[in-house]
Amino acid sequence: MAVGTGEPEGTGATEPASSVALVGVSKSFGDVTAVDDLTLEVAAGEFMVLLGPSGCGKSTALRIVAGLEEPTSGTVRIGDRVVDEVEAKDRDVAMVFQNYALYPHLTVRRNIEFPLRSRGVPARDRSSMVAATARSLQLDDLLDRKPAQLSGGQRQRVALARALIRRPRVFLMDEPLSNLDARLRTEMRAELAELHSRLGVTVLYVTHDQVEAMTMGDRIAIMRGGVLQQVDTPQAVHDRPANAFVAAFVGSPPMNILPGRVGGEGGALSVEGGFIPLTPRAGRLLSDRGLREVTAGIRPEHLVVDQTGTLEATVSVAEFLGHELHLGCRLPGGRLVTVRVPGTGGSWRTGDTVRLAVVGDPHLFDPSDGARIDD
Amino acid sequence: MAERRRPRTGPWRRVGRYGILCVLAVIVGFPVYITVVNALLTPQAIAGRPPTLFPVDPHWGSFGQAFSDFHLGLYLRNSAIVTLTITVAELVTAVLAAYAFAFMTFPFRRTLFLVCLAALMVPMEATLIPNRQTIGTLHLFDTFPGLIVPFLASGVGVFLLRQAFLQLPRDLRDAATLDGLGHLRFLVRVVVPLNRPIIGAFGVYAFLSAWNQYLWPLIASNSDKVRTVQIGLRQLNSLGIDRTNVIFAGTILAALPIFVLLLAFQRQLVRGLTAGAVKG
Amino acid sequence: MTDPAVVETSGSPRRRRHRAGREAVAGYLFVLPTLAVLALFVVYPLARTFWLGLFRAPPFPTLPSKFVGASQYGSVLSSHDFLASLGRTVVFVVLTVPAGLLLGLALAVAADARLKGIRIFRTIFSSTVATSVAVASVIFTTLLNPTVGLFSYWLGIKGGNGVLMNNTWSLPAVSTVTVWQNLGFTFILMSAALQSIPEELLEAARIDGATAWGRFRAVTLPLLSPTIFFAVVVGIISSFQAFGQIDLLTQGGPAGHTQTLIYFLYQSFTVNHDPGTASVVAAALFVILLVVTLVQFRFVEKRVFYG
Repeated sequence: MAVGTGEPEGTGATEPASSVALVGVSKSFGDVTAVDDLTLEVAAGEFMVLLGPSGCGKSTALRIVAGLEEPTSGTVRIGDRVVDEVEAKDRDVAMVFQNYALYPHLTVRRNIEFPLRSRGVPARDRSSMVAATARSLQLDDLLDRKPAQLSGGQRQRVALARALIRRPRVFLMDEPLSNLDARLRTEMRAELAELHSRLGVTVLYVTHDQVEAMTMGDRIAIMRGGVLQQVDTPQAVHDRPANAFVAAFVGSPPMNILPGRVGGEGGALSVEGGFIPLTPRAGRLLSDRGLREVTAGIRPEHLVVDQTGTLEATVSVAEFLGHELHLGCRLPGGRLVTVRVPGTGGSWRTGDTVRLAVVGDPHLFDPSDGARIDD
Repeated sequence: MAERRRPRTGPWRRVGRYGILCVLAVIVGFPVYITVVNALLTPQAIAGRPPTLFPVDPHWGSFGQAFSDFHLGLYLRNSAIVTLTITVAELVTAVLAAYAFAFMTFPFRRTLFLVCLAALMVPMEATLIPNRQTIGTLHLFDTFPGLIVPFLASGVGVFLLRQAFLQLPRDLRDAATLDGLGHLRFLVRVVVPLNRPIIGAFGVYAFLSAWNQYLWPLIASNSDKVRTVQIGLRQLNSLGIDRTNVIFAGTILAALPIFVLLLAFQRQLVRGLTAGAVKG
Repeated sequence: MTDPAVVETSGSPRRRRHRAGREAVAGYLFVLPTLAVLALFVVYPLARTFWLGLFRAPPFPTLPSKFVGASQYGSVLSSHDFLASLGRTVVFVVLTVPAGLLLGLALAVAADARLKGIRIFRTIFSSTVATSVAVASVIFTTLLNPTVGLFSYWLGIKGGNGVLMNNTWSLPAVSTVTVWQNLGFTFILMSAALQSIPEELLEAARIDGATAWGRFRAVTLPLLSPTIFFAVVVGIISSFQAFGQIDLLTQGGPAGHTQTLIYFLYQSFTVNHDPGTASVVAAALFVILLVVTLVQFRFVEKRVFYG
């Protein structure tokens, strides 16, 4: 039982956070493999984000940890306990759902209180815990309303309160912000991050939004087609993506991906609209592997409009965002690349011909399997 | 019934509309009106020509006679017993089965649901004769159980409620699972309260169908001790023409409970009757 | 449908299967009451009805009935009594369904207005829902009584048999009572459908300059068509099942002129003590209604099986 009875401070972390481990977990629905041999360790107190496009198996993985779904094979540990045989309600996890999953016929108070009631916490303790939790999430004035009378952000808070009040060892969140408008989402992002650092709980957070992943996660686990692609810190995932999929998925605007051929002495890649010079290190990496074809990835911020640039392109669209400018440039073969121009400068027009220079080495991926080429 | 905003029309059109409405109201409402009037007249006045169309000099005695000479009280009681039992039982069985078909996993679930759907297509007339024999074999002829048992469950209810239950977000079920609610508690604490409107609508529908049953009670009973009010009306119908005021009074009393009930549950009734049609 | 008990390949299958098994047991317990009742009072008797049609009733009730196979189906279904009853039933459907539908629709359209006191009219229009078939029939039996009935007086009938015992007019009279008794239901159905028509569509038509009749034809009627279709099917089915009004108004008379299929079934069973013939009629009735229902299902099956 997770619920302490004395401590009225609803948000004080009294239970130690637990680590979570999935070991060789697979899940199939009929012929469809939703999760394929997933092994992932989440440290106690860590904010781990499961990131991927819809249908990549991240939600299924989360539901397996929750005990809502039984894995076809593999094992789940919470703390040092193997929970494969443990019912969802006894796993000491709380979950926040995309649609909040508030009981529409109950007031906010009853909703927050619900997990305590079904666990037989005495009424006196319940009310003080509800009061404390509600206060910490600024829900005091809303306790007697029904969910239908709340805004999206308020509902989200109630859902959080309902999870918090149990003081679980692990928080599971399934796209909790995706039903909020953009502005509120930004606010809640900060609030969730703050909550996490204040409580020091373990969070397993599912999203398809790479901005959420980058801003909130201690580490990010990227999934695709049920298979784990990479687990690392946001910085590392951004700077050293494990493969072309991760490279394209993480970062905004997305990385430019160009197929290239290794030139004569390995000093440059010839690509659509010109060539990309390579450092000796990169050239060596390619020649060591004997690769003639390679996929180059260039972040928009690593492209610069410059008279001496090695790529030629035509400006196709210019999006001004206030603090920066995104130039969509079309290469002679028709491929569109994005250039990120900081500041407010520049006066390009559609149809202008520009030259683009690549800053540093591009990310290099093996075209056969998309894997990163690195030492 | 939900009033809907319609654009206001000009005064003359409005008068015309009222005129049409009044004519229609008279056509539809006249039989009921004249029933009430005749219940208050003497048999002589009813037979008198030209006919009396207004309750001048009302005689209220006919209502009392409907109770005393004709066992209306007993019939009403019997109908109440039969109808309430059927309604409650049908609700319980339908809620349970609909829940299982919507939320639980068990072998042959789909097949069994199709059985319920198929049962929905079998008219009561097609099973009348064997059912009469079954009731006889079970020694339930002319008993309350004999009138009730065949209607303890219905395919309609299962189908209707399952459709409604499936609208419930899956997240809600998951949240309840994490909160430690088993199926029964989830059903009672979440599913039923959230589906009160459709359950109420089905309840009113079930009540009305059970109350109005005619053929089955006619065949499955033959004594006043269990006879329902519909069959009682059959007895009333054969009272002579010198008791017409009592006939009319008895009809009113037989219809009154339902009339009151429907006024109280108008919204559920509308929803219940239209559940199959408008929204599907 | 994935069966978790089968897919499991590792972990601890025994325990998991146990859990799935427990859910299955609970599931069966939930559906048991419904299925038991349906099995005993719908599935079994339906089959038995067809079976009973294979037996000829004995000349005396105490003697055993005789197995005659399908021959009784042939003889009953081709008998004059059956065909005449079927014909009358079809006439009854024709007399009740279109008239009831048109009147109900007219009431709904008339009451679909934003006027003071409209609720009163709506209540009156839906009031016949509260009158059961028996109530309506008893009222009309008296009103149509040739000696004391008000309607008989207005129809200029003095004494004699009255319309209910008139060979020509008995079936139309029963139909009229049926239409009246069903008006409330049809009205409620049509009103609900009318109210579910989005106001914007009618406003758009108004802006396009359509007249009231034009709007009705171009917007309202097409959008009502599923409901109208539903009402027709329900009307046909309920007219095939109409029993109480015939039993109370005419007892199938005069001389069988209001004996529909269901009344023929009833008389064969209760008066003639001939469950064999009655079962053949019941089987025929079932097949007819099944066809009608299946036609309807073809149109709504997506809704039925969705989810």
